[in-house]
Amino acid sequence: MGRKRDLKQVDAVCREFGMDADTELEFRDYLHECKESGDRGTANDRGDFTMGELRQKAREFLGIEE
Amino acid sequence: MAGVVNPSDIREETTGDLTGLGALLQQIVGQPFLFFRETYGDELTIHFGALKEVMSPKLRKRQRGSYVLTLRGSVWKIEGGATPGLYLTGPVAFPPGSTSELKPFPLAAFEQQPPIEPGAIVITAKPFLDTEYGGGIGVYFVFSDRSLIVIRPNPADLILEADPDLPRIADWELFTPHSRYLRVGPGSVWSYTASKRDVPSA
Repeated sequence: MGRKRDLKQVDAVCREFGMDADTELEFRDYLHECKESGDRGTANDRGDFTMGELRQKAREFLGIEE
Repeated sequence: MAGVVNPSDIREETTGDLTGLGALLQQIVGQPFLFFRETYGDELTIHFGALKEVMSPKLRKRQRGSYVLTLRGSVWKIEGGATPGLYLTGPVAFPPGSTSELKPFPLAAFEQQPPIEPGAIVITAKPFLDTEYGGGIGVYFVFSDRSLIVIRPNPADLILEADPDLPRIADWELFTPHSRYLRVGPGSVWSYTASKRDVPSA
């Protein structure tokens, strides 16, 4: 069962970046692949991402330069 | 008499009307199960239909199903057909202190040891009003290998709407090859709208 708070945070960031549903679906996979490959977040021991880290991941995923 | 549903038609947010929701769900009947995939936040997704290439060049896993069912934060049960096994999640399956019959099964293991036979066909897809769980909309799928998936809204959400600063998420979603997706919940609300921004509404 998915952890709702984490899923909600991802949804919130996707809205901020104007992602459509298809893009959001792939962004969720991207976040998981990042964690699997060792690029983990600092929100907790599970390696979940903070809101700031999720925004950074969204920029990476969408190819937005800072 | 026959009836027709156009899977490209948009259906804006609706409350109830399980008949209409059930009709749209019929497009997945006849589609083969492909694979499970774990995704961020301990969510399980289930892929059906034909294999297709993902859009993003950033993803390592390059393929997805033409239909993708996302289980979000819902409670679910999967019953294996050819390979017996009852896979459970959620507070009902795991009441405090009673795990003697339940062995841990990581989500990643669904990808390697799927309890549904790849290629098994969806023969039933039906939504239901989950009165036990406060009136949200659940759904079940039956497969040709006698496997079963039941998805139910999480009852914990009824007690307290946590995180008021964050958006409420769906109980489950079904992405389709028609650039439309079903978004069901929370509660008895659902919609069938564009999943891709550049597709004009029908």
